[in-house]
Amino acid sequence: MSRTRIAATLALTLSLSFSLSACSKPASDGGRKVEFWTMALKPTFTGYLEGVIADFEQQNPGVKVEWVDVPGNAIEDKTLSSVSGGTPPDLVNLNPDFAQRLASKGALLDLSKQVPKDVQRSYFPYAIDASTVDGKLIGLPWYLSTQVAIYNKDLLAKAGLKTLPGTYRALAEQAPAFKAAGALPFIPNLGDGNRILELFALDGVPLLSADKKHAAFDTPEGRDTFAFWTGLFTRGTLPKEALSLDNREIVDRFQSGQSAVLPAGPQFLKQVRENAPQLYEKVDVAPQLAGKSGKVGVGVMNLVVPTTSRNQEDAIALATHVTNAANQLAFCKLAAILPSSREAADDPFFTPLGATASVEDRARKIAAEQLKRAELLVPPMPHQSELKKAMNDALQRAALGQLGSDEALKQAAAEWDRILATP
Amino acid sequence: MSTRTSSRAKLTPFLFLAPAGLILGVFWFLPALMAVLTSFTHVSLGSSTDLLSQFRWIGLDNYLALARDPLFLKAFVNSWIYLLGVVPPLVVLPLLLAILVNVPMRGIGFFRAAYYLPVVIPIVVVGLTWKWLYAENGLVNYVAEALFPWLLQHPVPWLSLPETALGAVMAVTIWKGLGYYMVIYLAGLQGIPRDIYESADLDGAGRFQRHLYLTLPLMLPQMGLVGIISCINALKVFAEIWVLTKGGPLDSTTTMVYYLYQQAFENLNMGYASAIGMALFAMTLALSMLNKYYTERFSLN
Repeated sequence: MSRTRIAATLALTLSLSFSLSACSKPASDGGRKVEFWTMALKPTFTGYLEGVIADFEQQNPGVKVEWVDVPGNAIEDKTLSSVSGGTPPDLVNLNPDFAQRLASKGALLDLSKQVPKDVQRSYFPYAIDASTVDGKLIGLPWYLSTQVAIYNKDLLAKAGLKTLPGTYRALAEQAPAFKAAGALPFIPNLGDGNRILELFALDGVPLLSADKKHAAFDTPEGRDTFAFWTGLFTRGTLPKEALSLDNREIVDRFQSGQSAVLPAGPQFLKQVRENAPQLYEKVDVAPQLAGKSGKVGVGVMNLVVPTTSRNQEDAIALATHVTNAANQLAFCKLAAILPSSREAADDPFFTPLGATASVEDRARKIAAEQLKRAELLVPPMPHQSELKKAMNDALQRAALGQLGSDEALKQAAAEWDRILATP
Repeated sequence: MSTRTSSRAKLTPFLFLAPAGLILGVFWFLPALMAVLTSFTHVSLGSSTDLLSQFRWIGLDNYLALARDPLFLKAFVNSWIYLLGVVPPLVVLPLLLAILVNVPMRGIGFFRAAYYLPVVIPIVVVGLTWKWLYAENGLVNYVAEALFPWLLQHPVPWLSLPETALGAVMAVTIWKGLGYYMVIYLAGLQGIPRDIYESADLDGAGRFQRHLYLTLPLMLPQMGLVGIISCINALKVFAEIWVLTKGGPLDSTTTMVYYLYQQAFENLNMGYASAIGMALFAMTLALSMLNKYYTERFSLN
């Protein structure tokens, strides 16, 4: 076979494979199909979501929704491979961090013009901010979560405390008392890339300059925040291994009585109830542990539409339907989550408490109250994963004693400037 | 007529090969070819319904960027440290284990199964278990402090220090791999005729001499095989690192495959990740060829 024929065969094979993968799949009955991926909702919320989908199909004759539930730890990889393979779902549930990364590659649809302004205004503004990258609305906010302080009343009493100190600094000052009781005051989830950035924001330290081209945290206030967190490790208040513990391990440590306070979403109470029922009896909740600014942070889950979706119009309609006030409220009544819809958050379900309210009800009330004044602590940033890594490296260097705290922060700022200068 | 029969006869083997060839082509060669081509491109994921337009040809830029990337250099060095740390123990220790369990006695099956057990435990379970063992209040520190009190005055956060993390991951790899390679050696040992050892006994060889002058030379092909497999596995290590350290602390456990993963799935730089994959492929191929060459040479001698 000549070289030309070999090249032609190769080109034909490649183009054939591309064309095949790019073909759209119509619904089996010939109507329009929307493929909708959610994150770990089966089997607990199967009935709820099937009901929401049935309503949508009834309101939109000719549209068939194919619901696919993906495990939480697989949804990013699966979305990425389907997007790069040219066979993406039409609507997918993602966290803003990963959505921002996909959007930075042009893989998510800009919804700002396609979603009516009154619909956009129905969500909390910070939830819309969490879904906005470079002025483009890359998704609709679905459910939210704000942290509360879940604490072990026994350990607090053993440490001689009658009430839970409300700030990280005040709680850290009690570390010797907790140590005498055989526990740590808390374990921060610094292994989660965004956390250290959020801790800066909790202290009111801006991360980026107004033009978003330079680091803005290398200031006396920023150095103080950084020194506080790195000092917890260099002074021995926290063990070095706490630098790399993930969320699951932090919950495990709390459940085994190794730490007194678990800063986490109310949904983690269910986990404590199921895994450590004896501890659950000794658990109470308080508002989110605060930094210097008194800000309250919020976590957002998005619904996004890939650019290459073959049924964008119906996907956007489905996203609007799933996230409307009525459907969000019904979802919140089933799960320990909070709505991104302002109307749903005003529902009496989130306010009154009876005399016999459970700890989970109290946690929901505290979290819902926090929603009204919550903020998105770390808005989507360009090159976010690289910026996170640079800050985490600096944190680890300082916490492990390889560099002084101020010097490590200075290096992080220089690295941020370099990354932000990259196109 | 005879010409027709002859051309049919020529065609028949190709028809038999066609299904396998098609499967190989679609699922093996095409993805590999795509990876090679992708390494010369910049990929804009999902930006267009026309897949081909997502790839922008940038020639050798990804490879030139690799050569200048300090993190890739670190990952490259870490991969080699890891390989040099795990391959020699994985060639030698399973052979010793195989010799120990290659004795005809009651209950030996229990030991064979016990040594093989780590192989069948999923890596995520292994990782989580070892994270507990390596914790500051975990069993490793407890035993180390009891045995070497003069050496370890404080518990060591094994997975959180850049100086110890890679070694800790290597230990898990060795622990998990011992049983797998032991089985390969065991098969080899059981293929050695008993009369060779009986002759050596008659010649007055002791147990140590028998293993040194008979077992070792006769097991060289298996040692070569284990060397090749463990080298390739060491270069493509990912799961242990992902579960135990996520490449940290301070990139001290970031190997080439883990860096490839970070570039592909965290930074979404598919072209660059493919270039890392090609570098890894070249290293693996070169190492396998070298290993094969020397193994055959020593075996023949």
